[in-house]
Amino acid sequence: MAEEVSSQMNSLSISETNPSSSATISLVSGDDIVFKVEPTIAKEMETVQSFIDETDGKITTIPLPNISSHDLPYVIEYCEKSIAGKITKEFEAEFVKKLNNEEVKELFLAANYLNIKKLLDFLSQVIADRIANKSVEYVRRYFGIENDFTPEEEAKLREELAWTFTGVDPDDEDEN
Amino acid sequence: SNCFPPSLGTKIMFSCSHSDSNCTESCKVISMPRLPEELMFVILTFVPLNCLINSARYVSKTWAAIIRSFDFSQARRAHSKHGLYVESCMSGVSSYFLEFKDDDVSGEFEKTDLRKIRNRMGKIMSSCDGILVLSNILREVYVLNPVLKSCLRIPCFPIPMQFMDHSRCQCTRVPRTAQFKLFFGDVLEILGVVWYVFYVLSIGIDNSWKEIARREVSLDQMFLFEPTYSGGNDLLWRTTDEVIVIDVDKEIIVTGYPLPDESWFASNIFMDGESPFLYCCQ
Repeated sequence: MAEEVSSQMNSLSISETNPSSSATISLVSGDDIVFKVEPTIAKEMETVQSFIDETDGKITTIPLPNISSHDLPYVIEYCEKSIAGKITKEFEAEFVKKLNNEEVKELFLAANYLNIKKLLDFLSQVIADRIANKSVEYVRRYFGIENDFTPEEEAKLREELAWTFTGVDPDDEDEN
Repeated sequence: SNCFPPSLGTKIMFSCSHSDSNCTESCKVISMPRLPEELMFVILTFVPLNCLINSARYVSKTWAAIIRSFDFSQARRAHSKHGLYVESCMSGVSSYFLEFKDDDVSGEFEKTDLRKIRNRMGKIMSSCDGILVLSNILREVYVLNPVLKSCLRIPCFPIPMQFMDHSRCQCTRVPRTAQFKLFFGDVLEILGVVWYVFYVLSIGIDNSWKEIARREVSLDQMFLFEPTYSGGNDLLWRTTDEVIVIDVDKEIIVTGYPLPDESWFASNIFMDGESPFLYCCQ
């Protein structure tokens, strides 16, 4: 499935390439699949762009060992929409619908690695939404976090904000 | 809107364990990537407040520390929305709070009916960083956090209620902490000598007001203006002839600046950022 998506994306990128425009950038995923993208896409990825700038644009093949060929098409898709100014709530909703929790986290790390602020913000919101109304246990499982509180420590923590929920007299019903 | 901690500039590498011998091809799928702390920080700035309070801070010590930190509260400000407190003057109608939910133009908001907390919340006496100090016609004083929908009754003021001048009460926040304090100033005559007297109450901690300082009135004309506060550690009080500065954290008078004679008829001081100003019409 992942291979399918990436090969589709590959052909899409190649077919859209305008031969008269400046050289395309080749992004190489961690599993050695090459994705050709327009330089404008690379600009969205600060990490890639700074790499290009450092080499005065001579190097146009950029290895991204930390990003898999499964994730990279999603990142590219988001960047393309972003350049076209077509990031709508509908697009974003569709975009995350395809992604399971694991994939969201991987994309989030990819966005951080590539330094794409818009995507990072968006995925932060997605993850925040997915844990928003969940139990403490669920959140721990989601992030693979161990509970390191002793029961005493947790009780103390629960008291910390106690003032905000106590000290109010029961409301009397008079109209004064 | 730079809401990221500086440490985010460092790139996080995938941690990919090869200890599993079944990891054949390349590391195509990394299971359960552990998110580093600075990225947790970023995500938590997007988590709704009630979730931070009710669950996120119990997840682990690291999370509790992030949520408690000053940097975190600063980062969240970038996402915070404005709200409106609407006071009801009609009997049987409760005051309410409108919290705007979206920063686009849709104008959605969440209405919090405050009747459940208290029938009559009253007027705003003072506010600081979203915390409101309210006083109702029964002369009860409440501290309200409208976003958390929580409320606290404040102990009686150190003076008889009929003499209470609510404008001399100021809510402050100790910089870089979540500690809010109420300050209150009064003019008292004791054995023929007139004093400006200042009191403090740490919200949620103190059960009564504590006198922190008094200053002898040096002139015949004594008048204590409303306090001036702009969110820092300095609380300013204008008297007839000087400006008294109180340290919010240490709860002491730090200094008094004498005013020039002609400023007697000047306005109260006001703050423009960190700088206090005094208007004088001549």
